[in-house]
Amino acid sequence: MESNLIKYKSTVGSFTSNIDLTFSDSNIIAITGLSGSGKSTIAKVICGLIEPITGHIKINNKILYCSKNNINLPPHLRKIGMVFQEPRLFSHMSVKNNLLYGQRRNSLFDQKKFSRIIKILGIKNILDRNTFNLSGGEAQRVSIGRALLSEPKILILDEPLTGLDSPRQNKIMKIIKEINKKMDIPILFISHSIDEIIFISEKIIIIENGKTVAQGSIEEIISYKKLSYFNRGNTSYSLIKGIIRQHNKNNLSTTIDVDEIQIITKYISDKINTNQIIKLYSKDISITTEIPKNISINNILETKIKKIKIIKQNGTAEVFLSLGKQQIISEITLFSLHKLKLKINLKVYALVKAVSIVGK
Amino acid sequence: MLNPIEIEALKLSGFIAIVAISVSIIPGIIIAWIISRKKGLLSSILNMIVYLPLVLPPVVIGYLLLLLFSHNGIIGNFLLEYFNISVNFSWKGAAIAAAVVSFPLLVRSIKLGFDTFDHKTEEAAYINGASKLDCFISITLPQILPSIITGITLAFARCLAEFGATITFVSNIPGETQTLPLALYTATQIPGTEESAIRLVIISIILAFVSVAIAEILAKRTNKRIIGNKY
Repeated sequence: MESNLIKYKSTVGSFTSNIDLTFSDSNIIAITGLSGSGKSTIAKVICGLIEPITGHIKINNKILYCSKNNINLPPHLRKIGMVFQEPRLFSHMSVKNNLLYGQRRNSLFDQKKFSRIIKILGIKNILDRNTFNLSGGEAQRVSIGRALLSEPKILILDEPLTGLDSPRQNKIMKIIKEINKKMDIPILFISHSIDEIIFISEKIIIIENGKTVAQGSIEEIISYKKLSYFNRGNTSYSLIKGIIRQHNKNNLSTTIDVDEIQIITKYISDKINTNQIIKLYSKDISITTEIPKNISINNILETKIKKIKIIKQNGTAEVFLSLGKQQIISEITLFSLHKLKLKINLKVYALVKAVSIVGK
Repeated sequence: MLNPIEIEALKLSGFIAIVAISVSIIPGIIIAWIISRKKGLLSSILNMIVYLPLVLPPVVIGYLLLLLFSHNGIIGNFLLEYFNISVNFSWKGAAIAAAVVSFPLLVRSIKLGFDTFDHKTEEAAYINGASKLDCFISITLPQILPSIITGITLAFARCLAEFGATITFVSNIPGETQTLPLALYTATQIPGTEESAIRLVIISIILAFVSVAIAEILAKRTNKRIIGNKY
């Protein structure tokens, strides 16, 4: 039996959550879903900030909440390391005192551990600073440090990268991975961003309308039909998996095998035979009914139309194309759709302009 | 310069204000917290009672205190019987009157601090292992310190200005209950003491000005320490 179990029913206002998930002690688990799906509620329930109606919550084999046995530990006894969307630092204290706030209340001071954590987080030089002078990235790293030093049994990160620019996001994501590797602590990473969760986690849990609708490894989750709509309002894309087959050092390109179809990308530094998750923006995929000649696009993939979804208000259509056993989406105008007389089961070629690798 | 009666009144005013604030600061913080955080009928009633001294005529307050603290009054009788304390016609009574009339100003400022303080910071402290009381002392109070300082200074200034309730409750006894405003009142009643009256008026204005200035400077300083230069 897994040592972490989160199963509960809760109501906040008119929103009801019904969550059931388990995970082991060493993983980074990502919880994702559209905004308003109830992701952050999970964090608050685990921390004890929201009391469920019924349920059972166990972290590291310690029962935090059990409606049957009337157990409901207050937040300060739960030993949860929590990092919120905003750093929530204590502005009347220095960075160092912020870091030591939880530590002083949970354990004796361990200089070795303190040094190790500030080294991983890269905050050695800002220990004596006031918190209100920190940049967004620095403040969030201090917040992670404060949570880690409080001797937690689990680290929960609730959208910790929101509001940071992408170099800072990358830096913090790398730090989170390193923490998981070096400190042997399970991490619950809550995010609406597919890129973040694919980069960071081994197991993904999808939440919709307060319910767990899918959980599993990236490979298992990738086929979840609604995954491509998680960035709704932004840009639609599809995620497919493949294996690195070949590097071409002269052209600085890499060939990836997607269900025996070869896709050429920019050079990727990973080794041959490693798995990759590839993200294809729907706008970067064009469709042609014949193989074009003399064209700069490298990836001309033979596919079949599986489904056509017309989006009237934009004057566009999403054309779902099979790619081996997987599926990609092309976004074209209604004008092109009618010009090419596209219909379901028609054999077409997908012209893929840009390929981005988001994880493995 | 000042004559001995004026010096006595000045000292007594300061002493009574300090005693009044020292006694009311902790209840003031607790009541401000209850009014700010707890919703419901009891909290609303408490809110109204606390603000009453702000709108009632001071003479009404003085008379009510007289009824409550006289030897036959509920509190006066209790104090006399169990602690052998009588507050009538003494500086203790003057301090009680000052505490009561300045209480709304104290609570109002501190409540404003609680109202505007972000509860999310407290959640972070709980999860980091602080109990509710620990969090209140280590996070909430330091964070609302500027409001507490403003409240104390405003209440202190109000204590110095207190007249109506004091004269009704504990009368006007030089060296015992005669604070600055009462000494000024006496000076205005006796022919030939106009100079003394003018001196007391000037002192009152200076004191009021200084205490408000101190409040402003202290609040700015602590705010700067807590939230940087945003103030």
